[in-house]
Amino acid sequence: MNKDLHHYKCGIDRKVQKTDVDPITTQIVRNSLNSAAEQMKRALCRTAMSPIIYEVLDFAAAIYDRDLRMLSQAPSLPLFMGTLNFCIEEAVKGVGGEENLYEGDIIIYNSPYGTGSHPQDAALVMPVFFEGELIAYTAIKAHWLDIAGKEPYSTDTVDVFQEGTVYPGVKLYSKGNLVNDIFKMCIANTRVPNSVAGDINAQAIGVRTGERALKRVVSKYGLKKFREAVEEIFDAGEKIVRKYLKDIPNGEYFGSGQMDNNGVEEGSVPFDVKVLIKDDSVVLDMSEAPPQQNGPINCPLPSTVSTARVAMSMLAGSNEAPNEGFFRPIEVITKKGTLFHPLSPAPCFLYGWPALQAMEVFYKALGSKHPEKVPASSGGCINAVVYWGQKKLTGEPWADGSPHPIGQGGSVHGDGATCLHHAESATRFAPTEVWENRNPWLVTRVELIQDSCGAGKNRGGLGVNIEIEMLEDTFATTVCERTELEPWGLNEGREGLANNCFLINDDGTKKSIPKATRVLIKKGNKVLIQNGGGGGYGHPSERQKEKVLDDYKQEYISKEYINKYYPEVVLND
Amino acid sequence: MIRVATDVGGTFTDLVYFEIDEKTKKAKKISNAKSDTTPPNYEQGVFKAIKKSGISISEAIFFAHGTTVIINSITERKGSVTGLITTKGFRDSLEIARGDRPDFFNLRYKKPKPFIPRYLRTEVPGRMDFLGKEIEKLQLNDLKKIIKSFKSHNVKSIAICLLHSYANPKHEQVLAKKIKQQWPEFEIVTSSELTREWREYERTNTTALCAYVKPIAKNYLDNLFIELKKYKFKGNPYVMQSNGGIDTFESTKKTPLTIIESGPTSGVLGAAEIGKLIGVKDIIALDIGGTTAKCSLIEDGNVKINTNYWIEKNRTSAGYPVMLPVVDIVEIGNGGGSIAWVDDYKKLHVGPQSAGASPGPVSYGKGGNSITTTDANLYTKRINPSYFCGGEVNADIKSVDKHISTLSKKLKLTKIETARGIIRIANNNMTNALKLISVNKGHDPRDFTLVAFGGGGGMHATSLAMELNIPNVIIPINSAVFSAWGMLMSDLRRDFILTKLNKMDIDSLGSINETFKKMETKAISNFKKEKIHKNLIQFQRYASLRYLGQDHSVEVLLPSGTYDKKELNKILISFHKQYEKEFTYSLDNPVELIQFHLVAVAKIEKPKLEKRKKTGREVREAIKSKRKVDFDQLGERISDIYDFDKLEPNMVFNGPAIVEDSSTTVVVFPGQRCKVDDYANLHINTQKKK
Repeated sequence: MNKDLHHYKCGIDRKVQKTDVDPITTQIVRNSLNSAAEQMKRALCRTAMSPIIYEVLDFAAAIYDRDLRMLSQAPSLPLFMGTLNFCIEEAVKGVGGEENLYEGDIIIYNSPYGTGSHPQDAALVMPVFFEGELIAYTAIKAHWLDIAGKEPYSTDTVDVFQEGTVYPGVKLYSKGNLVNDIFKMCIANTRVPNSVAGDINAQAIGVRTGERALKRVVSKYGLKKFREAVEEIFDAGEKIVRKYLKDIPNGEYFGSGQMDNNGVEEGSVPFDVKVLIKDDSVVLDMSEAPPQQNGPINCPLPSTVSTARVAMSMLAGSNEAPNEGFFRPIEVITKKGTLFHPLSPAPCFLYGWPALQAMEVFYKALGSKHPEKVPASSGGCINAVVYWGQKKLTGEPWADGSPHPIGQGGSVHGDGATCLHHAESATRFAPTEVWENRNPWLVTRVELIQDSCGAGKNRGGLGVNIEIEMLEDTFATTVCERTELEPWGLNEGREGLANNCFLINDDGTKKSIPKATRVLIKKGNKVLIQNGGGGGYGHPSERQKEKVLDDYKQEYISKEYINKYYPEVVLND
Repeated sequence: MIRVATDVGGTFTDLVYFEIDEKTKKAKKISNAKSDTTPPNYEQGVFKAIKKSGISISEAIFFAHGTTVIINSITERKGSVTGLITTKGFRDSLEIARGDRPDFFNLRYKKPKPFIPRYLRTEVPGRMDFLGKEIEKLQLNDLKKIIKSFKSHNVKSIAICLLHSYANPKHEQVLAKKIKQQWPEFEIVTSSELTREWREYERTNTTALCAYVKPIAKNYLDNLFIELKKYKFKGNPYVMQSNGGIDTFESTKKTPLTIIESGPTSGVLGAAEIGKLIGVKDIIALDIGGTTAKCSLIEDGNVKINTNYWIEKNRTSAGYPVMLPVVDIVEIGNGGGSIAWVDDYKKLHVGPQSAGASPGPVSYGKGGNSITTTDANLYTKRINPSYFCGGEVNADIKSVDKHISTLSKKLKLTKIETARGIIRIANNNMTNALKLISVNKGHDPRDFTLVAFGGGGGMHATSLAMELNIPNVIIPINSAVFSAWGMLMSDLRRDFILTKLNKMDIDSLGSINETFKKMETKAISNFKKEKIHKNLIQFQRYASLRYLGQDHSVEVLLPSGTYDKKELNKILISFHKQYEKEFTYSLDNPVELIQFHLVAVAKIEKPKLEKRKKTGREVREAIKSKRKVDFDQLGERISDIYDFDKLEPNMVFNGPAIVEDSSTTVVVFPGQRCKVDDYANLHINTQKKK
């Protein structure tokens, strides 16, 4: 075996072998655990300062047992969900191990190679004690608006130290008391201290809410019965994913993706994945990935593992909240020193972009032989734009940012949805009326892009154009991937429109700025975010004529589009 | 003298009337009648019920009306063809919505389909900014073309929602006026006459839904009014609103979406009124019906209202927003008819699917083969098998046994364990809903009294209270017709809401005072149109306040009058306090007012409930029988069965016991103590005797 290859088993097995708990109790424990995670989420959202948390839901809130098995998590940012066991493990290591944990402690941890994220994604971890015994952890990893990187948001870092301040696992609360020295460091190392102070507070409230809720469940049933119920819950979760995998014939499936560039150098960065199905288990092999890059598109191991966990949970387990059991049938292979297993201090600010794309490339691989099992490609990116500046009237600094929704891919089940996120499922799109109140700009249009959908028996969902005119000079960092690799169709379905981002000057000239740091947008100039459409499923000639005509009536597609993709449909107007 | 409340439900139309003693003004007798609901001519069902009751409508001094006609037209998609006119660049707001996917691991998620299709969504140039300043003139050059297209698609109703119209409604008003003048055949709803709150998707959808139901609502209320006059009704009839008040037909017809949740609202209001009568101010109201359970928190006697209401929203769908003041209710798919089922992974679930009225629970013997919560309650003998539905139905015990057996085999449990399991899961679902309105919002359930009503209220309330450590449960008298009682206890109420950002400092006091004053003047003139004199009107002022930079606000009750520095400080102190209660902390940051909320109430005379007569009967005389009842973990116990109608004030008895009348079953657990109050409400203490 190649010693550079790294095999990671995504789920941990049973700890209690013999269980004797009735199914009703198990079900109530399951509901109560999900409700406890949900309470954490609500507490965080209610108290957070920055819209990136309460609107974009750029966080994960979850509960783990002492063995770092995921008990439950709240609907939030899926990509974060599968990284939290790493965060907890490293956070606890950071303070010197379990023996240094006390009731009321809260650890702050954001080292990118342990969280899998950029430093802005900071985790708060709280150990949960029951009758003096360490039984579990509650954890929330959330995106802070700024953590004193070289810019509020960057696409061109060359090492991880440019990306922000690092907290290597230190106690923010010790036995319930705030460690003021640490807190002051947090506030000193950000461009938006009020916002960060508020969000730290909100995260602390969140993990404490989870701690209390979990203790209520455990005290109701007793630790023994609780632990037995947990084993049953994991086993049931495992069965869900295994059942899905069993329906896919054994074999190796190949897929490839492509990053537009690495952020600091010209040229696309292609990568290959291999999906190996064996009976009811799956191996996601990323070891053929290119070497780690000089720019920030490297994806640290925890996020690579999370990608695998999320991709499989989404495919297999619709309608169920994932838990540790879901992850047991999954193994990930990576190679050290590559795009999906970089080594510190490789820059990783844009780690999420290869991760999000990899998810869809797994589907592409399976879809190459079993298209009915997966959807076609979505618009393929979150097209994030971060803005900042100084308000003319008051002189106060401001910053804002948002991911944007894209069209979804068609599948055997029907047309792709319009304007949703693929993996950032719960993110809410900001209202223009609130946006214009908050920031010195005018939103000039938010409109569906005609013809952006990939044609097919079941077409892709439409993308959306968002155009904003700046009323004051503004800086922006843009991260739109997949501007070259169009959203692919499946089973002879056609491609959708690719993403892009443009700077429009007041003379009307247009410049493409899909991945750019600290771009000055002068007063009166506009930024146009072109959010792509989804790929189609099945050959366009199989699409029902009535559906084509209705798409035309709705102005989703033009006459030219019909002539090109559905030439057999004749318009009579 | 009689006071009448009618309630048009999905299946039945209920009528409840109070005979009022002319001297004491007390309700002497409460009676009810039922008829089938008669779509699409709903008013016929109302008059059938009136006929059945035998009352003469000409003697009625008060007529209040609740109806599900609006919500049904929406859920069944039976509204009118509607067109939208909005600001250039924003016609897709209705379709893009907020872009979230609540079922976040579901790649096949389908977005809720907009009520107005894209080809009927049109745009006009013209722009306000967020302060309400015109930055581009409204241009109506294309209006003729728009109307022509609407006509060719048979549009009956037009929704107008322009960007920032909450700050300045001028453009919307000009547009509406022009259409009214030139094309009077259209119904029109502008967003600014519905609400002056920001967030364009929510406001556009609210306007669209209102326009969608307006023709139907107008027609229906007009017909009802004509019929009432035919029967020589002399008073002014009212419609129950979602904000916990009633309003006139005239006002309701303009913006009928305000009655979308009239039914559930009146039950919550009834709980608050019962509380006032017997001196209980902090209440959790719980209404367990056939398909859903609804709960709402009442603090210090005040029913909570908010404008963040969504229809068809659940774990798997984002739903549709209704940005109107609606009583803050959490509703879950868990009622008597909720179906128990076992999934592929051997897990037991209850609801949200319901057996409905037909075939109904297995025990009804109408061919139902899905075990429901009601069947489990019957199997555990909490419900009396020989007095099922007040003796009107022979409970089909054999079928219940058979189908529970099927479930129990899947679960590898005994039959009684399965029945108990169903009740426990149903209770767990309801407990989680109750936590949402209490614990999750910073309220300790121990400080509240649970007032439970509806068909299943008495059956589950006592165990839910134990679970949440709620010390006292009240099962009100007439709990089966409780919503109608609430309707008769309502005042005329209108809510005026306005988003307008002001820093809470001395410099802004002028603007804040002026805004409230303007709103009050507007409210008075609004009522004046319907000849309601300003002396009858009482105002309540609220403001949504937040820490500068935060999104989340709390609504604070404000004093009346003009504010000075001292008042401002008092308001800030109460904000910090209320904020801390809800969010567990407060900050030193500056505070911002984002929304003004004025409640205008015109008081209406109400009936008073009469106390139940005491005959000196002993409590044991109210026992009609004994039977074995299963109390889950406490086992099977021989229990006294009390006749609700024979209970008298000050009677006290202990569980295990069941209290029954023809429509209600109340379960009193071993160790619980039940006391009857002056009005024959049951007070059950759930704290175990030591």
